[in-house]
Amino acid sequence: MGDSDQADEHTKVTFGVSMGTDRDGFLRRACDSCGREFKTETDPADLQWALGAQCQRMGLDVGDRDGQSTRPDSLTCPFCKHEAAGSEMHTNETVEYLQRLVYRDYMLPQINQTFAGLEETFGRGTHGSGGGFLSMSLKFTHNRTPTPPRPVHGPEAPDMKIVTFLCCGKRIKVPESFFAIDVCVYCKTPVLLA
Amino acid sequence: MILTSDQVANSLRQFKSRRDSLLHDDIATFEHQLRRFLDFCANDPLVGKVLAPTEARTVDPEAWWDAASQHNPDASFPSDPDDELALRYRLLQSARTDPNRIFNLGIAHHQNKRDGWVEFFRTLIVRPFADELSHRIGEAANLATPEARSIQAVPLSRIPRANEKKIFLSHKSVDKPLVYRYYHALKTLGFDPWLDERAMPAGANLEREVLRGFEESCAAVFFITASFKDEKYLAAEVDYAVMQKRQKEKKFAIVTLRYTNAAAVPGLLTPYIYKDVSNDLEGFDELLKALPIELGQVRWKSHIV
Repeated sequence: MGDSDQADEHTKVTFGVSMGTDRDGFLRRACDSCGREFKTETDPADLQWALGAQCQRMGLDVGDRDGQSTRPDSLTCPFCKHEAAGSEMHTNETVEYLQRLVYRDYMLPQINQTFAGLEETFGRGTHGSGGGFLSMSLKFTHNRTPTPPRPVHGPEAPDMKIVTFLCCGKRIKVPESFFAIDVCVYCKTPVLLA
Repeated sequence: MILTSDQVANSLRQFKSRRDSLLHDDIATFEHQLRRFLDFCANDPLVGKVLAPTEARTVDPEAWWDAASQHNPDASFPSDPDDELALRYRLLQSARTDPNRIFNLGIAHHQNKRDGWVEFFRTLIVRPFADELSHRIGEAANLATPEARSIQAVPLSRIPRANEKKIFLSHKSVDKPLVYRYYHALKTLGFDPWLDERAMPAGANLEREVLRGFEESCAAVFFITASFKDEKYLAAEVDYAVMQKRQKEKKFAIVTLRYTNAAAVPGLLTPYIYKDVSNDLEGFDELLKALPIELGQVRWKSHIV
């Protein structure tokens, strides 16, 4: 095992993500263009990418270096036809949940560890100078930030109707009153609601 | 009290917002968020349904506070999940009326700053309560709302045009009663069967209309009975059917239903679907299976709803 592999072992963090789906197994989504909500069936690979996207937004380097997971397909908003990666079409609730999870389980321990190390460094020996004109001393104390509670995701309302796309066999949910779907959310095939 | 789907969705939305504010908002606003959350729990009909049974539970929050805030604290909870939920709820209520309890609990657990004791209280009391309540509210929401309805989104490429979905019923005149039964059954289901005398305007050129009937069809059904003979119009229809099959390939089916004691199947038809049937029901079943088109989802008839 090389050095980089050893470093990977030390920084590898496993997140336990528990997302709230509705009774039928659908996860609420929000179009990142028009903001309207629909639901898709959950895909673990998609959640992995969603978590990765949030980590990257928070300045963390993430990635599946084993190359075992494939990027999930993009989604086309059933309302405005905007196309984006599935990891970009999450509700604020889901995004906040993921951010809180990353902060609590990864960032905060790192921060506490870093400052604890600094405290140890400055606390060891004398960090002052008294031999010249200038005399200074440096004292560093860090109050460990208390760990916040783990975030909770869901519960998810069992609302909306199911639309099955016969082109690819996948399903979504849209509001009961919405009938204007004319393209498949997954594969963009032109469709007509039956 | 029966809740509508909108009420249930609204309750869940507000619950999640109040819960997340209580769990994660700035610690400086914690008491305010606790009041908001408890007021919501007391007044929301869905949450009220879930929490109502906890009122009958015999739990002692005062004894818990005393045990959990002493020098060697004991912060254990009842093993019964309903008792635990009831106790946690009452602890939140008592913390609302006396915030010093949160302070005392934190001090007993070596938290010497406000940040520490509030986060400790959130982690020890609020979060497990919120998690369990979330689960129970989700269950209650499922029970309170009907199953989701389902519709299909059909690719346009799978929707035949009006002039390519007819079903041509080829037969000998003497077999009209038999073919009418198929015609009516197909019509009732929503298919578009083509029968010479019904489809042709008076004075129409028979040959031309029959050919047009084939061109607008996705299937030709040949009824081979004892009276069938591969000659004249019937022979021409067999030729037209084979021609359509060559042109439309998978989008055209030649279905041959051979009744008991019937004549031989014409040689041109034998490469295609060809079934021996003993009655109409059997024949109709074979026909539906052989058609290249299918009907849509089950729905209530218009006069029912």
